Amino acid sequence: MNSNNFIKILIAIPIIVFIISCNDDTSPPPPIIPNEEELITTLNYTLISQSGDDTVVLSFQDLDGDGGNAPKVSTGELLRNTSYNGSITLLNEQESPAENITLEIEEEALEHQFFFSSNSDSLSMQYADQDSLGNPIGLLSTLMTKGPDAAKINIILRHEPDKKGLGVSDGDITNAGGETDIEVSFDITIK
Amino acid sequence: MRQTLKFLSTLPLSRLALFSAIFYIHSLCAQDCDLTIRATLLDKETRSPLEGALVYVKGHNTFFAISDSQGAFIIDNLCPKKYHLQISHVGCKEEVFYVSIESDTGITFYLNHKIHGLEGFKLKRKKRKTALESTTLVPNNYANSTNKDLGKLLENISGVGTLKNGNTLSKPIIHGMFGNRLAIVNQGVVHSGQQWGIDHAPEIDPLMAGKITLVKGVAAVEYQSSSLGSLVLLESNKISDEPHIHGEARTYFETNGRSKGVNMQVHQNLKGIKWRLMGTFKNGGDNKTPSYFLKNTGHQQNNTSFQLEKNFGKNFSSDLFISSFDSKMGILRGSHLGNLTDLTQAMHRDVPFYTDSFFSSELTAPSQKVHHVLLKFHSKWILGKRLVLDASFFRQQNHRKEFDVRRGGRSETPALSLRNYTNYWEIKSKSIIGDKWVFKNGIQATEIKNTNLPETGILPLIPDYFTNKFGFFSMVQYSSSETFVNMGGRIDWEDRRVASISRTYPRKLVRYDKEFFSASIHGGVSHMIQENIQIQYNVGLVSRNPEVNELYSFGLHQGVSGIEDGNPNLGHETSMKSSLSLQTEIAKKIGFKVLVYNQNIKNFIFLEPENEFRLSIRGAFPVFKYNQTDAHIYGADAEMNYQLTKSFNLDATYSYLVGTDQTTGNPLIYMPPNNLYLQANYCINKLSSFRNILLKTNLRYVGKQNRYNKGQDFLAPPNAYFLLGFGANTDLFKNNYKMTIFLEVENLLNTIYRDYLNRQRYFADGLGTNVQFGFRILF
Repeated sequence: MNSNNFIKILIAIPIIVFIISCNDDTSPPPPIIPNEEELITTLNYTLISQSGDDTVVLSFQDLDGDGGNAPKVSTGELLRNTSYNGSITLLNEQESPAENITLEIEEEALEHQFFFSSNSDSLSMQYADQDSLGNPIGLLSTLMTKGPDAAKINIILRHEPDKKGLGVSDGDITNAGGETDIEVSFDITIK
Repeated sequence: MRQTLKFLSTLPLSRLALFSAIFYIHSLCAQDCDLTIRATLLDKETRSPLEGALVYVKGHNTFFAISDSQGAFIIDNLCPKKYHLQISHVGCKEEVFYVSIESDTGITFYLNHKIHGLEGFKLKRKKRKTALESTTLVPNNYANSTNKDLGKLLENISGVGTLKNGNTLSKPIIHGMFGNRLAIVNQGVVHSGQQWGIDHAPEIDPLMAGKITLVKGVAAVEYQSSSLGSLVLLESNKISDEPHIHGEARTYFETNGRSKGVNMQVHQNLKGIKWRLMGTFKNGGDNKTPSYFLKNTGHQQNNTSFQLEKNFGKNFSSDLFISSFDSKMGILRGSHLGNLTDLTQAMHRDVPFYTDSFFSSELTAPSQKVHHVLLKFHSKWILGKRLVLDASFFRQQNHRKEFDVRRGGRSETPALSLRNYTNYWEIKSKSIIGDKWVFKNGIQATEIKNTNLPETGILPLIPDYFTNKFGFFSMVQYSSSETFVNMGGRIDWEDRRVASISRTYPRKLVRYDKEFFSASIHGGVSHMIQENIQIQYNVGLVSRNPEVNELYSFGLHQGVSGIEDGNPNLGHETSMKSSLSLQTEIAKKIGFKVLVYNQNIKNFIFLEPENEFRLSIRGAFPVFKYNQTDAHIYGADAEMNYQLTKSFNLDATYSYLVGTDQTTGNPLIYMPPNNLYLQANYCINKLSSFRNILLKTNLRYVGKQNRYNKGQDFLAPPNAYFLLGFGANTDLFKNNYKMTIFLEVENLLNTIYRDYLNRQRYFADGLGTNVQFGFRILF
C-alpha cells in the first residue's frame, strides 16, 4: 500500500466512526425502574394493652420514598395508667405483596437499634427484646402510660450504632452514632 | 577563573541555579578516544543561549559539562561511537539527544524553555508569545509529583484553590469557578464524566500528561466546553527520536496514610514508529489528623497509558493515545449520615464517630469506584507552508460507582452507578497569512450518552440522557515583536434528550427534550511596553447551558443530607469576564506579576436552600432548589520571585477573591478564602557526589472566609491557619542513569486546622504531619 492510500484510510476512519455513530438513536431508551428493595415505606407500631382490651396501631406510610409526596401519619389514643406491649413492623409496600423488612432487622439485630422518646412525662418506654450479645433491639417494647396528656412518640432506627456507648443500651441515643434509617413521630393523646 | 566567576555574578541570577562555567571531564578512555564535541545550547523559541545547563553523557562515568554564558560546552575524550546526551536546565524539560560521533563534531542543541518550575526556582517568566494568560507545569520533570493529584499540583499557583472531600477527592477551583464551569481538557478533549458532583474528582492521572497549562483568562473558544473562563489543559509530550528503549521509574512513600506508589514509563522510536508506555500504581490507608485517624480514608489507583506516533512522509503524521484510570477512594466513615439530625450531631463532635485508635488500610463503604478510559486518534496534515489540517476522534468511557453503608449486605451494591460514553470529532485548520497573522477554524461534534445502571436499587439522582452537540469556532491571531492579539468566537448547538423516572408512586417515565443555542466571543491583547514590562488584557463573553443535574436532579443527595430539586425552567448563564495583568522585572532580581479580574455572571445557577423541610420515613430533610441569580466575582492574584543571592531565592503568591450574589447582596458560598504562599529556596550545586541540591521551606496561610452570612451553610467557615513545610531534593549521577531523591514534609508543626473548601471539615480536622520521600531514576 503506498502512503497516499494509507493517508486516505487514516482520514476515513474518524469519518466512518462518525457516520456509524450518527445512525444511533438520539433518545435514551426508557430507563429500567430500579427495584427499590431496600426501601422502607411503612412503619407500624402496634400497641396491645397487657390486659388485651385495647389495641392501637400507629402507622407512618410514605409510598414514594424520599422526597415526592408527603407521607401519611396516623394518630392514636391510649388509655391512662396502662401498660402496652409494643411491636414494630416495617414494610416495603412498593412491592406486591408488601415485603416485610422487619425480618432484615432481625437478621442484622447486632447492627440495629430503635430509640424511643417522648415529650411527655406520662409516657415511658422499655425494651423487651435482645440481640445475641444481650443488647436491646427495640422491635419489641413495653410502653406505660400515666395521667392524661397530649404527647408525641418519637421512634428512631439507627443502623450501625455503637451499642456499647454510654447509656445506649438504656435507650439513650446521645452516644449511639450510626445512620438514621427511620425517624418518625406520632401525635397521641392519653385519655 | 576568578574572572569567570565575577562575570557570572552579573548575569541574570535566576539562571544561576546551576551556576558555573566549569565542565568536568574524566579521561577514562584509551588513546583513540580523543574526539571532542563542541556544542551550543539554545532556547528553542528565542534562540538565546542557555547558560548553566547540565550536560551528562550516559554510559560513561561522570562525563559532565555545564554550558557557559554563550550556551557553549565542550566534551572531549570521546570514543568514535554513539552517545546519549542528557541535557537539563532549570525551567526546561529535560531532554536526551542521541548523537553519533565519528570525528570532532560541532552541534547545536535546542531546548524548550518555557516552563514554570514546581520545585521553587521559578524562572523569571518568559515574555509570552500569546495574549493568553497562562502558567505551565511539567509534573513529569520532578521526582516529587508522583504522589500528587491534579488539584494538588495546581494549588500553589495564585488564583487556584482546591475543592476537596477528604484528602483523596479533589478538584481545582480557578477564580471561583469549578465543576461544570471549569473545563479540564485532557489530550485535546474536554474531560467528560460526572463533573457536576461537588465530591467528584476529575478522573485523570496528571503524570500521563507531559505538561499542564492553566489558562486564567478566557480561552474556552477553541474547545466545546461549558467553561466560563479558565481552562486546565493536559497534553502529552511528543515521544523523542531515541532508537533505544529508555524511560524512567519513580516511587514514593508517605507516612500519613502509609501511602506508596510507583510510576514507570518507557519509550522508543522503533524504526519510525514511536511508542510510550506508562503506568502508575498507588495505594494508601487511613490518613491521620494531628490527633486521630480518619477511618476509611484510604485509596487505590491503577492507571496505564499507551501512546503511538508515526510520520507518513514529511507532511502527514498520526498518533494514538489510550489511557485507563481506575481508582477506589474511601470516604470518612463518620461523615456518612442518614438525615439532618445525624448531620447536626456529627458536626458537633470533637472526634468523628467510628474513629479507631489504630491505623487500617481497609477500604469499605462509603466509597467511590471510578473507571475512565480515553482513546484518542489524531492525524495532522501539513499542506504546504501555510496550511495545517488536524483531524481527531476521541472516545471516553466513564463508569462511576458510589457505595453507601446499607442494610442487608447491600453495602457491596453501589448506591449510584452511572455510565457515561462520550464521542468527539474535530477537524481544525490553521492557516498562516503573511508573517504576522494566523487563522484557526474548526468544526466539532460531541455525543454523550449517560445512563444509570439499575443495579443500585435506588432511584437515580440524575436521569439518563443523550446529548448531541455541534459547534464551530474561528480565531485569529496577530503577532509582532511587541504585540500579540487573539480574537475568536464560537457557536454551538445542542440537542439533549432526557428520560427520567417520576418521584411519585407508581413510577412513570418522564421525558424532556431540549435544544440549546449558545455563542461565545473572546479577545486578548498582550503588549511589551518596555524590554521588561508586559501587560495583558483579556475579555470574553461566554454562555453556558444549564447541565442535566441543574435541570432535572431530583431526590436525596446522601452526601449533603438534603433533597435537591432540579429546575427544568433554567435558562443559560452568561458570563462576561475581563482580566488585566502586568508583569515586570526589577533590577534583574525581582520578578513581579499582578493580575486583576472581574466577572459578571447573569443568571448564575446555584443551589438555593428553601424554607422547607420535606418529611420522609427517614426524618425531615432540608430542600434545596436550583435557581438563578446575577453573580459578581472580582479578585486579584499576585506572584513574586526575589533572587537574593545566586543560590537563594524567595517565591510568594497571593490570591484575593470576592463573590457576591447581586440579587440578595449575600456572599457566594464555596469561594476560596484569601491565601498567601511563601517559599524560600536554597540551592547547592555540588556536595560530594550529590548535584543540584535544593532545600526549600514554605509557609501557607489561608485566611478565614469572612464573606459569609449566618445560615448560608451548615457550619460557619473555619478559622484561618498557617502550615509550615520543608523539602529537599538532589540528583545523583551513575553510569547509565540519573537518580533524583526527594524528601518533603507537609504540616511540619502538626497544626490542627480545618479548610473551608474541604467538605470533610464539617466532621474532622485537616491532615497532620506528612513526611514524603522517594526517588526518580532516568535510564
